[in-house]
Amino acid sequence: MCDTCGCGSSETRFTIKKPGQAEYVYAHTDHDHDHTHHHNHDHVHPHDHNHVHSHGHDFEHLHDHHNEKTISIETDVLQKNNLLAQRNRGYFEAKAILALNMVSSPGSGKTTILERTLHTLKDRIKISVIEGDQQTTLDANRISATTVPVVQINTGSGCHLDAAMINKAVKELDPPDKSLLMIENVGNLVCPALFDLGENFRVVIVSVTEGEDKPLKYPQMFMSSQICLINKTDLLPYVDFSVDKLKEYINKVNHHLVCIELSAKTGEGFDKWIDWLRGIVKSD
Amino acid sequence: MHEFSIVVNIIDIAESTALEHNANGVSEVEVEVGDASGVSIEALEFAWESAIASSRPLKNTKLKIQNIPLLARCSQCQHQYTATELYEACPFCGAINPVIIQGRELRVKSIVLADQ
Repeated sequence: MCDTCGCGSSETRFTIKKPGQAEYVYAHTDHDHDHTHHHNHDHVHPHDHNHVHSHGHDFEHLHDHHNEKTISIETDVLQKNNLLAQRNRGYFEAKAILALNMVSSPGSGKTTILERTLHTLKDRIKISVIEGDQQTTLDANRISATTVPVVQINTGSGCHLDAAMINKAVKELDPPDKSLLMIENVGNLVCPALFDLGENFRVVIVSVTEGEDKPLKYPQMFMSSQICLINKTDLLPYVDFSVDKLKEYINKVNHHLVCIELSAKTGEGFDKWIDWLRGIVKSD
Repeated sequence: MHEFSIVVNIIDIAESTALEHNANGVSEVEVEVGDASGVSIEALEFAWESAIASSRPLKNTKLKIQNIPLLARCSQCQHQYTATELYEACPFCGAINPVIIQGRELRVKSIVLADQ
């Protein structure tokens, strides 16, 4: 079944494109295979016993049917995604790839931050990029112009990237050992928070043209991130935005979150971000 | 609306359990949803109705949702309190950044299989 629309047909689920090359289409059937394997083994067997004893009675009272059987499952709904994310994580670890999941609302400057980062670091560190958007290869084309390898995931109507998409995209991208993999998620501060991709660090970006109260409104995203980039600081004189207030709210939600103020447009404060990146990459 | 993806995951789990047990159908799926799971129960219920329409074993399956309240423990005074926000300060000592001990659950608890 389709992950985004729920239809039973074998329409396209998501597509992976490389600028200038044919696209790769992943249909529903790819997915159906994966989960059948995982679930059959992981959770049904260990729990077989519990349910008959503990729950058998309740349901006989609740329903009049004779042949109903309650199976205790106790399985995380996102287990399939989490298992696949751990597989991605293992692959990254084995190849000494450092993966960053860049998340933000639309228009806060993720792609511009990426472009400047690539221009600054591409000659010193091996980098590759996965772009996530609902439609178009516009972002991948921008990244491709920097000569850094990139693949574009189009989620269709999906509001987030998931571990399965990254798993497939990484196979197309084939990032080198000891490199940095930057994943630009779909612009959305809500849904991507729940979907682990297997990244090492989650980077949340907030720009000064948004409200300072974003961390309070979308706490899941700020709680699950390790780095916060406060972008567009060149616009501070023109907007009614208090960086102190933003940091106060961030501190309320996640006091471990490291904040870096920068402007991807002018480059102001960008060296701190570059230093942080160089500090975490094991590249030589 | 990521609730649709969540519902599809729940349906996958229920379908493979039905298959595993050779059941003809599923009459009920019980899901635990924590207040801080990041999932809206209303959106989940809405997505459920349209999603099960295309699943043969889950047609007419009832979704039973058990809501789990958010429970926090103060990292300073260790007091436990129910909270409405993930970052709610301790009502006893005022400390922020509590440890969330309950309310992030998003779990399929049980499935009722219909054999006939």
